[in-house]
Amino acid sequence: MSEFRVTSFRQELKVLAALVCFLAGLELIARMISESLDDDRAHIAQFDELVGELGEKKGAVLGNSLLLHGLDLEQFAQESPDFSTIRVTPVSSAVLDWGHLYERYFLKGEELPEHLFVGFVACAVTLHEAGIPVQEFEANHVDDSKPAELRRLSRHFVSTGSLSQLWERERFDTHQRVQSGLSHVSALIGDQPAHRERVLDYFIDWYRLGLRTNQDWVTGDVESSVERQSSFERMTRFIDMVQAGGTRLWIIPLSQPEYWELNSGLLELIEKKGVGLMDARSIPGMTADDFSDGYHLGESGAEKFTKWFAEEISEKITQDP
Amino acid sequence: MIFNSYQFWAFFALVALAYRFLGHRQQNHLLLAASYFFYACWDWRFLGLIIGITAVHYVAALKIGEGDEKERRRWLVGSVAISLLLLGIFKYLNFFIESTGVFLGRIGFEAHFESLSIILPVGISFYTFQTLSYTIDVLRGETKPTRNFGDFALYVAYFPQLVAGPIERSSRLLPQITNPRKHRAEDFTIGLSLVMVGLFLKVAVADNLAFVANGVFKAPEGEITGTDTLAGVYAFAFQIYGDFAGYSFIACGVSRWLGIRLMTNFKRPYLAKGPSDFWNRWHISLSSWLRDYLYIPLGGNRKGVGNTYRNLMLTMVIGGLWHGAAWTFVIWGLIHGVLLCLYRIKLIKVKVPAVIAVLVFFHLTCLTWLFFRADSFGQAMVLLELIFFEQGLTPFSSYAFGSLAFFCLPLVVAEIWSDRREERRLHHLPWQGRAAVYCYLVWMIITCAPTVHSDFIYFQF
Repeated sequence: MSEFRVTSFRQELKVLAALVCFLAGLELIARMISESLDDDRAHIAQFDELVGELGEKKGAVLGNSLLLHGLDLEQFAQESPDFSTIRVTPVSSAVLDWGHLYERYFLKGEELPEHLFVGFVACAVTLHEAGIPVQEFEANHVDDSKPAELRRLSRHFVSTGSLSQLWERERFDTHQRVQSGLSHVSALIGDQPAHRERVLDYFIDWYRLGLRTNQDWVTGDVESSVERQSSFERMTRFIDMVQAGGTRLWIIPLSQPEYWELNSGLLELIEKKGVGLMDARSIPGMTADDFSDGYHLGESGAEKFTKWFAEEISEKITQDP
Repeated sequence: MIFNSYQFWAFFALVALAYRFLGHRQQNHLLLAASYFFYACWDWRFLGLIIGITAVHYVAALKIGEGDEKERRRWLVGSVAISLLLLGIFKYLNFFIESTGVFLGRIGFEAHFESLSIILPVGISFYTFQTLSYTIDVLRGETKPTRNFGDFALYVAYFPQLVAGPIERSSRLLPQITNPRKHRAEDFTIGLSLVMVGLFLKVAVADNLAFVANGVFKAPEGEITGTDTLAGVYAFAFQIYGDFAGYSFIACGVSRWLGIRLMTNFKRPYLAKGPSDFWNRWHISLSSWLRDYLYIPLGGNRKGVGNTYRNLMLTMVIGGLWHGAAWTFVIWGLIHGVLLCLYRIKLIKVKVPAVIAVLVFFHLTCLTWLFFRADSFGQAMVLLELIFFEQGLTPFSSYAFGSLAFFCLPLVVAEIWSDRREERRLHHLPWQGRAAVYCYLVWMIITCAPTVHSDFIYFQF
């Protein structure tokens, strides 16, 4: 190798300073664009505002994309004029996310909901596109399965005081702890998966479809060999936390194209803890055609679910408080 | 504790900080303790193994240095046999048992052998070869045996290169350990450039393309086309390059910061015009080891054409087996051996333009990677058939080729630019240029890192 012209350490410091400035700029941009990254971030940015509305509303619906698409708030307001609710439904979230976001956004607020409704499924799912099955996966929102989207959890859902609890309970290794800590304080790190997706989607043709196929091929073997978790430590903590604030908790096993069985351990738990059950697994008149993609409710399905939900509230809460 | 983990950088920061305030001997003690800690982080139970191998070669080298010719040879054979025996047990015993069972089955004997539950000690192939070269060099008179056990132990276990190379020669690394190290002004600059490029290669290139390659090699039969497969093979080619070269760059970079220069292990290998050129660019520390301690002692090219080809084939097959105990690695080595022989015969007398030669040899290399990555010979053949007979563009292949272009194109352009002239290196750029390149690298490392990072492939070797 030819001899290198010796540069001073000071000059190298200039390089590092430029790099630090660049990173600071990236962080600034990441914070500025955070809310506009996707609908989910926009929704997350509204959590404080939504929880602030609890003073005039009695209920809060907590869930993920299933309830985001499944519950029509306008229709609900018409069907149930005596009972109003807010809806907090970040996509791909589960009980670990709900527990932390409840603590961070709800418990710090002035008002707690009188009733909290949590919608979930725990079954095998087949996603369809134009009627053709394209992806199979195990949706499990309330047990202690491996958590997903840890960066989003650390950035947007966990309060600063609960970070160390999260690390302990979820048995994070050192790498995960550092990443979780960085995600909590930095939008650049915390929202990285969303940035990555936006960048790659922009530059790479057929990125989303290709990625999904890729994911199916890679995880195909793994998923079939993974034993389904059936412990409910997170759910237990969540129930205790919600009930400690005097809120009545209701869980809603949601509709799917095919009827699915509730885990007996979960049933035991909700019975023991006095949690209310609104069983939406089999809503009269709901058919597979009411689902837009074999998993989420379409327009007609949302209409049926919302009507059913309003009736359940009327029957179990407003008429029989 | 892998190089792209926060643990490693916290560990390294502590070591580097303490290192600055110590004298030469204490620095060596610190590095040795840090190296054993680093190794114990994978599996502390194998600390005894590495210390044992170190002790065997330390004693053997001293005896070789002192004894008469007969005794010298006896100590060499003894130490080499112990090392190879341990390597054989940990790495090849199950392969041997399984292959014997299959072979006996083929010739009509029903034999059921139970595989043993053996954990492969990380980096064993690397430090075995490193210690072997030391003892052989002492016998050859190319290195003087060191009397300081601590220095020799550090030579064997030096953490930046312990688990995935480069396989350093004693003549190069040992003097840097035994003598006080000079503080050179350029070490920080060069180290930084190596670490940056290494992290980019590992995190942005290798880990992203690993996902594409894994998808193709795990795809159910009938679901992929030849174009998908081709994209998967290209993806694996860049994955293994990014993974291994990335590790080597980071190893050289952090070592530079400690004032120790490790050998260059990769020199833009996919710009090779032929197999000899490739092996002068790819995993140079292994290929030069095989050349010096296997190919040349076998006779090299000095004993006629037939023996030269035999030696080439033998060297490459053993090189293949070094990578792992599977027939796919043997086939990988065989194909490389055949390529070396064919290029030596020079079937085509016409001088082809460099760009054609590079493209042709890149595809031949990809062919070898197909066998290297495949789960079995059968799978490799199925995929090969797909590539040649069932081409068809799909959304997946668009995505895979798009990923290749996004992650590799800037890298390829930079390599072509720097391959032209030796002085075209990142650290030669003016500071503004370096800063701009680092900004790009850091952006890619942070923004484009996949959500799950994977281990370095070469740890399993």
